[in-house]
Formats: sequence, C-alpha cells, structure tokens
Amino acid sequence: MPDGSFAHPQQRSFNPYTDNGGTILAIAGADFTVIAGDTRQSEGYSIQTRYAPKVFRLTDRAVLAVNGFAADGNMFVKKVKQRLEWYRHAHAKDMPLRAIARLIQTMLYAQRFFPYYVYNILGGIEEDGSYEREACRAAGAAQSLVQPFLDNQIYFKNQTAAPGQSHPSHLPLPDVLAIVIDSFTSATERHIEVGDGLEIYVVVAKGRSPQGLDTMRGVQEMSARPDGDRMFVIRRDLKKD
Amino acid sequence: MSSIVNNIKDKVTGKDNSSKQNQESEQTFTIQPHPAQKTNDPRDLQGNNFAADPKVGAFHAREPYIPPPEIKNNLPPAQCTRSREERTRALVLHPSTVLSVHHFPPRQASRYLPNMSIMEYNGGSVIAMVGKECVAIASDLRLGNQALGISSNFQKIFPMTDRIYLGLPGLATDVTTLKETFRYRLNMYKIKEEREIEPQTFAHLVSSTLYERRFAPWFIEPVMAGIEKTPSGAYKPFIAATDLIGCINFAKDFVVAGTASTKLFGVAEGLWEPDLEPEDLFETCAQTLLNAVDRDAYSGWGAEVYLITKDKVIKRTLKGRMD
Amino acid sequence: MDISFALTGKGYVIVAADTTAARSIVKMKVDEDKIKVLSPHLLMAYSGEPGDTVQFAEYIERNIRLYHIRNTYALRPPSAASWIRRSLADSLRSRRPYAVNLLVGGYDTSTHTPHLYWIDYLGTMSEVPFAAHGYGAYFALSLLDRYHDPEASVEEGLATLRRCLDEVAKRLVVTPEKYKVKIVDKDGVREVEI
Repeated sequence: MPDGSFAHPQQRSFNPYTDNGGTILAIAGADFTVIAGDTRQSEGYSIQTRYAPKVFRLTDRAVLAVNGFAADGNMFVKKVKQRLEWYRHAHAKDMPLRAIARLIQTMLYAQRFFPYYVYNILGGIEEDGSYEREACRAAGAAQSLVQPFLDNQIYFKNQTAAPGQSHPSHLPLPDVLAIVIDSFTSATERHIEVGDGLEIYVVVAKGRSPQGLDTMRGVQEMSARPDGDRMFVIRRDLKKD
Repeated sequence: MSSIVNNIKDKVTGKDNSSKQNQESEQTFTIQPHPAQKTNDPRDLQGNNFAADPKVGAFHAREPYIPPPEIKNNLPPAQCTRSREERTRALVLHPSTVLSVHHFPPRQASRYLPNMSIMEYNGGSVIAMVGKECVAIASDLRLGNQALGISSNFQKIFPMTDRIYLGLPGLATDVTTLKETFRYRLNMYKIKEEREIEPQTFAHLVSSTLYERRFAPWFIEPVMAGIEKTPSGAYKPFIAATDLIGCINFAKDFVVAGTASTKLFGVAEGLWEPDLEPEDLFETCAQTLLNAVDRDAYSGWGAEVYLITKDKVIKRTLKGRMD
Repeated sequence: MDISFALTGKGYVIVAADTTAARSIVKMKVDEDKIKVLSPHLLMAYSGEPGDTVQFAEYIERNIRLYHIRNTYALRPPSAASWIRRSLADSLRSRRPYAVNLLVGGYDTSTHTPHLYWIDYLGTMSEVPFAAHGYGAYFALSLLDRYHDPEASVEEGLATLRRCLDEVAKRLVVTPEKYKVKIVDKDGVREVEI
C-alpha cells in the first residue's frame, strides 16, 4: 500500500522466464540437412547482442538449433554436449542422431514441471545415411511468417505440377539455401526480433557431393575428417534495423 | 581444426576461398544510415552536420557556457528559503494529514470486449498487391463463430467503383454495416460531385468513416485496391490499408489484414516482386493467400481474387483446401 | 437453450425450432411457437435471451406487416433480411441490445427462388443453403454438410431434417422433446408434423 505498511496482503511474483526472440529453421534434402538461425538476441524492444549463436554443432553429423529463452537454451545445449561427451567416453564413438533425438526428448521431459523454455530443432545425418523425420520446420518468433512460405516452396502446397510431371520430394542444396536465405530476409523485413546475422549449418552425407557449397561466399568447413560426413557453416548479414 | 582442413582443401583444390563466383548477385545488408545522412561513418559526419552550418547554426543552441574561474569560484552558496531543519520537520506528516493517492483501475481490455478478441470472432483475411499497371485483392470466404464454421461463401471484398475494390476483414456484422455505409457515402459523393471517387480520396473517406467512431470503433481493418488516374491521363496502381480506427498505410508493395495477417506478411514478403505482369500478380496473390490461410484456423474455406487492370477486372473464385 | 434448424431445397425452405420455453433448469412450457410468419412467404425462427426474443420478433413482425399494408406488397426475402439485420446491428451498439438469433427463410415469388439467412444477435448475416442456431448447430451442421441437397424434394428435405433432430436427440444432454416445423414455398407457409 502507499504508506508502506503491511496491513494488507502483499503479493510478490518472480517470473523466471523471458523471451529472447529470433527464429530457427531446418530443411532436409535427399542427402543433406540444413539448419539455420538468425543471431539477434533481444528482450522486448532492446537488442542484447547482434551475435548470439542459436545453432550448435553437437557431433560430426548432428546440429542442434535452440530458440526461445536464451539462458535456458545455452544451458540445455551445454548439458546435451556433456551427455554426448560421456557417451563418447563410454562407447568410443559419437551418439547416433536417433539416439540424440530421444536423449533430448527425455532431457526436456525430465524438466516437466520447470521446463526449459526452449524450442529445439535437431538436424543431421543418421548412421545409415538417411536423414529425417520431417522435411522442413521453422520455430521461434517468425515461425508464423516462415512456415507457410516453406509449405509453399518445399512441400509445393497449393501448387499443381505440370501434366505428366510431379513435384520433387527433395530439393537440391542450392535451391534449399536460396529458400533459407529468402525466408530469413523476409522474416527480418517484417519481424522486429529477427535480423543482424544468419548462420546456416549444412551437413552433407558421407561421399555425397556438397553441390558447389564449398565454393560459396562466406562458407567455412567444420568437418572433423575430410572423408566422413561433411559439415559447413555459412554466415551472412541480415538487416540490422 | 576446421581452418586447417580448409587450408589443406584450398591447397589441394587450388581454389581461393576469398574470391568466388556469384558473389555480386547476392544481397548484403548493413546498419541502415539515418535517412537524413548518407553514411554511418562518424568521420564523414564531421563538420557536415546541421548545426555546424554557419547559416543555420545561429538559430541553434551554442555549446555549453563555461564561466571563467573568477566568476565560477566566487559564486555565493546555493540558497534555500527554509533551513535544513525546517525542511526535515516538514517531511514528518501530521497524523491527520490525508494523502490523496490516485489509484489507476486495473487495466481492462475494453468494456466493449468480453473475454475474447472481437477481431478474431468471425475470422477471415484479406491481402492486396501491386503489379505492373495492375493490382490484385484477395480474400478467403469463411464466416465462423469462433471455431464453428457457419458459411463458406461469405464475401469480404466489395466493388466501390468500377476501379476500386474494398476488402473488409474483421467482425462480420460490421463488414455488412460498413459495406452499406460506403455504398451510401459513395452514392452521395457521386451525386454531389457528378464523378466517381478517386482511390486516394476514397482511402481518406475510409479513414474518416472509421475515425468517426474513434472510441467505439467498427471492428474492421479495411484493405483497398484500385487503379488511379494521374493528371497526365496515365493509370497507376493503388493499394492502402487502415487499422480499425482509420490510420492509413499507403504501401508500395502489398498490404494485409485479418486473422492470418502474420502468415500473409511472411509469404508475401517471400513471393512478391516489383512490376509483376497481371497473370503473374494473380498467381503470386493467390498463392500467398492460399498458403497463409492454410496455416490459420480462422481463415480459409475457399477464396476469391480480383485482378484489376486499367480496362478490366477479373474475378476468380478458388477452392483451396476446405478444412 | 433453444435449438433451431433450417434448410433449403428445390423451391422451398424448411424451418424448425424446438418448442420448450425454459427458465434455469425448469421447463415452463412445451408448446411454444418460436417461428413467426412475417408475411405470406416469409418465416423467422428466433431464439436467445427470453424476453428479448418475443419483444424483438413482434417488433419485426409488425413492421414487416406495416410495410405490406402501406405498399400492398410484402418485402422480398433479401430486403426483409437486410432490414432485420440492420435492426439488430443498430441495436447492438445501443444502450440495451437485443440478444436474439434468427433464421429467416422465405420464398421469392418474383424470382421463384428460396432464400435462407443465418443472422445472429450481433447482426452478422449470411445467406446459406442450411443453418442452425444453439447447441444443435454442433451436431447438425456436419450432417447437413453430408446430406444436404439443394435439389431435394420436400420429402427428402424433411428426411434430412429428421436426421438432424435424431442426432440431437441421441447425442445432446439436454434434448428438447418437440419441434415445430414450418415450410415456405410458392404456395405460402404451412406447418407440418414431424
């Protein structure tokens, strides 16, 4: 009350969560996976930093994108990486992608009543060289802007194939990268929480062609061995306003 | 580790990572300079700013005045009408002193709004796009009562003149009421002026009609599209949208409104490009609408697209997915 | 809670409404007619806030009748529906709005077409092939999506209505026991037993 007395019941509340904006996106091709995220971290109308990665390399062939409450996201990635390291020490190999997916699921559910406020997209190559449970997925602040665009461009929703032809079930890597970059420039244009920078991770299955990716501008190879699955990261600028 | 791999790879392939083809074709973005300045580099701004111009500078405040030491050091101490003791005593409130504290009432959405969003009560979405000497305006056809679908043939776009079409997404009762209001006002305009209204004028008519009800608004966010006749006799595409109290948005590319507006923004931003030919504009507009409403539970159930060019209007009714 | 249905067919509109007048958990009356005959070829089923319903329906009934007397011909269904809708829309933004939902069905004797309008208390109006108000809508609309035929005969139309009433009787907790059913076609209005 205004007089500072405690004559009336007082209520205090503490909200342990916040929303740090940003958007993540993943698309699977026939023999590669693309996982991307913008690098802006914001709270309300303030930008906390223009470079805070949301996409993380877990193993030679697995990439995890986290979006939502950044502190939870970073902590979660840290714990997943720790579990993967323990696995490596115990089994002398990297955890397979399917196992990582299930691990993440159990780790999230373990926090059922004080959840990590994070949306996760896991991408990579499975042991037998196959890839996906889903061909494309957007999450985060601009999910509602990006997902219908992907429905149209990846799944060819509402598009009729020319007579006698059919839509490809998987797009080539250059097309996928173009769609990812377009998705993020579009989201940046219309959503205040998206922008600053773009990081695109590409995992290419062992022995498959990176389809000209290695000659792209701003690409950096992160492969552990040149003869295994190959991993690349492409960094691009997004508008900063 | 990765840089080592890169270096080895560069040596093996004989390629240089810094010079690549299709480098020029891709867009790059940086921090946008303020519209009033050409650059963000502080060095370019020196001696070039507004106040530094001697002709203009005279009208602006000067740099801070720093008094010379003989004045600064000989100033008398700051004076107060009451002593420190007096002031401290005055701070202790007499028991009978009544402090009047104004409490703001807890914020309510509005007394007109029950515990739901009126703008989403019936559902529906509209989009308008500019092309090369043409415009398109499209809407879905759903009328619902929250989650329950009532009609799959509820029009939200109405012809205002031969060359102006108005989309009215929002509360369905106000869709009909406003449609009738604009028909009345345009008939009156035509009788008084003995001519059809121009799109620019019409946008302001829409704006003032909505602002008239500033404090008990019509729950509609109009979107309009038309072809403007310039003084030189040429035709120019026109689109505009307003919020529910009539704030106009004259966009150059596209405008959206309704329950699927965020989805429409996302898809339109990805598909639209400048100077689309009429049939390409139709396809762009139709695809944008269909894919956006498919991700919105409150919009869909069919769609219609109006393609307006200077000599004709084509209306197409689309089926889309009916769920 | 009142339930009303309506559907169009080849040259007719069927309008049905339950006949209970309830207050709280008590049935006060089981033979209430909630379908007004507004003019020789126009029907209106009304439901909603008790008190408002009859008050509003009688106001509409008498004004439609007045128009008929003054002009010697009745308002055609589209015009009548528009005027009724406007009455509700104006009432919505008044100090004490009417809370009445309507189904207006009529036969246009000039164009020989049946018309059905779904109107709610906000003044939302839509011309529809079939319609329902109240809890019945949640059961009947999906049935009507499946079985409605705009070219159906009166017998087929009544059979479709029967399906709706049976479904409501089977699945809704508070089921009305009786319905009044009226048909409007080129010969005017008649009541049928169902």
